[in-house]
Amino acid sequence: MSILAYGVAAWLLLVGLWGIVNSRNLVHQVICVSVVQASTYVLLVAVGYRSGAVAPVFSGVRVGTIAVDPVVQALCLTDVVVGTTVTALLLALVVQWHKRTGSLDPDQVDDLDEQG
Amino acid sequence: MVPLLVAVAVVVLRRHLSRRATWMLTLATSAAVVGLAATLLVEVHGGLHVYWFGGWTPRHGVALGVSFTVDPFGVLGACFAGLLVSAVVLVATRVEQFGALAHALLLVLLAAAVGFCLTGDLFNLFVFFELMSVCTIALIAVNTSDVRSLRGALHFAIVNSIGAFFVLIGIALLYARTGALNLAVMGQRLAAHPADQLVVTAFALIVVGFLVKAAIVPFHFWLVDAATAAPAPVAMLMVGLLDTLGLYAIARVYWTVFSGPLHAHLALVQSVLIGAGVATAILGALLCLVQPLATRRLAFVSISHSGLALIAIGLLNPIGLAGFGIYACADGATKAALFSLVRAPRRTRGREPGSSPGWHGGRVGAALVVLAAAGLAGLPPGGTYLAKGLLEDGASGWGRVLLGGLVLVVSALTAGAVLHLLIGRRAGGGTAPAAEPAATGRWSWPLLAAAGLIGGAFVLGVVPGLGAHSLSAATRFEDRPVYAGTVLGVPRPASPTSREVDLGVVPALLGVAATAAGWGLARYRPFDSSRDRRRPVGAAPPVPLRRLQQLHRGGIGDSAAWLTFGTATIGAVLALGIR
Repeated sequence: MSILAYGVAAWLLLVGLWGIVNSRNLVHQVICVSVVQASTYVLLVAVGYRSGAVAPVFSGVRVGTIAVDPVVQALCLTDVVVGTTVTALLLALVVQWHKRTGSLDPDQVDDLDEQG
Repeated sequence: MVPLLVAVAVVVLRRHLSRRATWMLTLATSAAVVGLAATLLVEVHGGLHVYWFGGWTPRHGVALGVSFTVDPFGVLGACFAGLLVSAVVLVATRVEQFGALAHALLLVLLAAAVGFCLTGDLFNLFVFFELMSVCTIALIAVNTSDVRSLRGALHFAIVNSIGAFFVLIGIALLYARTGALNLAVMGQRLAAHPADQLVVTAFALIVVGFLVKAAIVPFHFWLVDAATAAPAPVAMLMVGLLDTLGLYAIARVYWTVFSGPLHAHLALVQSVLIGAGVATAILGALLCLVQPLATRRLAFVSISHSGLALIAIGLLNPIGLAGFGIYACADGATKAALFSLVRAPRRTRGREPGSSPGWHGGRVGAALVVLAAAGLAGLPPGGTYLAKGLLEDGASGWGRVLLGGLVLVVSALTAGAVLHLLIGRRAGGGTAPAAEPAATGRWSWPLLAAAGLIGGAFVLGVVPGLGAHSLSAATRFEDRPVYAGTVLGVPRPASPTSREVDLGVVPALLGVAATAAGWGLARYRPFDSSRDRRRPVGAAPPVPLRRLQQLHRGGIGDSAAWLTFGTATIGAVLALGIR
C-alpha cells in the first residue's frame, strides 16, 4: 500500500511536469500545475498513514487507539487552500488572456519582448 | 499583523478613501513596520528571541506549537522589506492602475515577507512563501489590458508554483523522517544520523524551490519575462525583495536544519551553490550587454547580482553570510531604484527602440542612474563595496583570487550595461530630451524614493562597525546547537565572537577599477546595436551569445523543462556525491 502511494505521488509529479512542458493550451497548462500539486497531497497523506489506524477523531474510541497522523492532514488541507487560490488566480489570468488575444496558445506572443 | 489589518481596512473602505488617502495609509503602515522591525532589531541584538503562538511552549524537547524565532538577520530582512515596500508605494503613485486593491495586496505581501523572515517553522516558511507569490502574481497582472504582463504573470505563477511544490515535497520527506516541523527540532533530530538519500533528496528539492524564487540559472527565465513586463513598482519588489528572500531561506534552512548531517559533505554543498552562483553571475553579465530593451537589460543585471549573492551564501562561513546580509540590502535597494528610474518601453509605432528618453526625472534622474551604477560596481564607500570586500575575505587561497576576478568582471559588465542606458540614449537619441515633459525635472515622490534607496545603499557602507556587527550576527546564525537550545528552552552559552573587519585596500581598488571599467565599457561598447543604425537590433552579438539569447525566447513550457533539468542535475550531483 505504502509503496504504491509513493509511486502514485512520483507518477503524478512527473506526468504533471511533462504536461506543463508540452502544453499548447493555457487551460491545460494550469490544470497540469494542479496535477503536480496533487502529487504533494498524496505524498503528505501517505507520510502520515499507519495501517490499521483510525481517523484522528477521538470521540467514541478507546484511549490508546492508534490513529493516523493529524498534522499531515492539516498540512494537506492548507496545501489544498493554497492550491485552490493559485489555480483560481491562474484561470482568471487565462480568461483575461483569451479576452485580449482570442487564443489560448501560450507561445503566441513570444516575440513581443525582443522587439521592445 | 499590522499590515494585514490595514490591508483589510483598505479593501473595506476603498469606496470612501481617495487615492491619496490610500497611498498615504499604505505608506504609514509600511513605515510603521520599519519602525517596529528596527525596535526589534535593537531588542534582539544580543541573541535569539523565541515567541510561541498561543503559549504552546515545548515540553521535554518536543515542540508542538508554532514559533517565531527572531534573530538579527531575520529582523534585518523584515526591516528591509518594510523599507522597500515604502519606496514601492511612493513609486506606485505614478502608476495609474495601482488602486486600493493593489495597495491592499502590497500590504499582504509585506506581512508575508515579515512572517517569512521571522518564522521558526518550516511549513509556515512555505505558506508565507506562497502568499508572497500569489500577491506578486496579482500585482504583475494589475494592468490586465497588457498581454505582456499577463504572460509575465502566468510565467511567474507556473514556474514559482512548481518551485513551491518542490519545497513542499521536501518538507513532507523531512517530516516523515523527523516527525517535526520546527526548524530547530528538525535540525536536532537530523543531526543524530549521517546524511542518507532521503535527507539529500529533501535538501535538493528545498534548495531548488528557493533557487527558483531567487532566479538562479537555470531557473531564471521567469524573471526575465515577468520583470520586463511588470509595472515598475512590482518589478522593484521582484528584484529587490523576492530574490533576496529566496536566498535568505536557503541560508536559514541549511544552517538550522541540514548543517548537522551535511557537515561531512561541506565541500560538495559549497561547490554546488557556488557553481550555480558563478554560472548565474556570468550568464547574467554577458546577456545584459546584448539586450536592446532597458527593463529586460536590468532584469539580467539583477539576475547576475543574485548570482554573486548566492556565492556569498555558498561559501558557507560566517564571513560570506555577513557579506550576503549587507550585499542583499545594498544591492537589492540599488536594483529596485534602477527599476523605478528606468522608463518602461512604450510600444509606439514608427519609433525605433532607443529613441525615447530612457529614464524618469530629467537630469536628477540621470545623476541617480549614474550613482546607482557606481553602487552596482561596488565603488567605495557604498554598502556593496563593504559586502564585496567581505565576500572576497570569505574565500581563501586560489579561490580568493578567482572570486575577486569574477566579482570585478561581473561588476564592470553590469555597471557598464546600466551606464550605457544613459550614454547610448544621449549619443543616439537626438531629440530625446525635448520629448521629456518639463514637469518631470522636479523632485517627485518616485524620484525621492529612488534617491532614498540609492542613498541608503551608500550609507550602509559607512556605518561604523557594521561589518563587525553583521559578522557576529552571522556567526550566531550558523550556530545550530545554540539555535536549537534557545528554541527548546535549554539555553546554551553562545561562544562570544568579536572580530574587527579590516578589508584592506584591495577591495577598494577593485571597486574603483570596476566602476572605471564599467564607464569605459559604456563609452566604447563592443556590441552596440544602437551605434550602427543600419544593422537590425539583435544582429550584432557574436554567435554564442546569440544562441544564449535565443534560449530566452522560449515559452513557459521551455522554462519548466529547464527547471526539471536543473533539479535533476543538482539532485544527481548531490546524490552521487553523498553516498
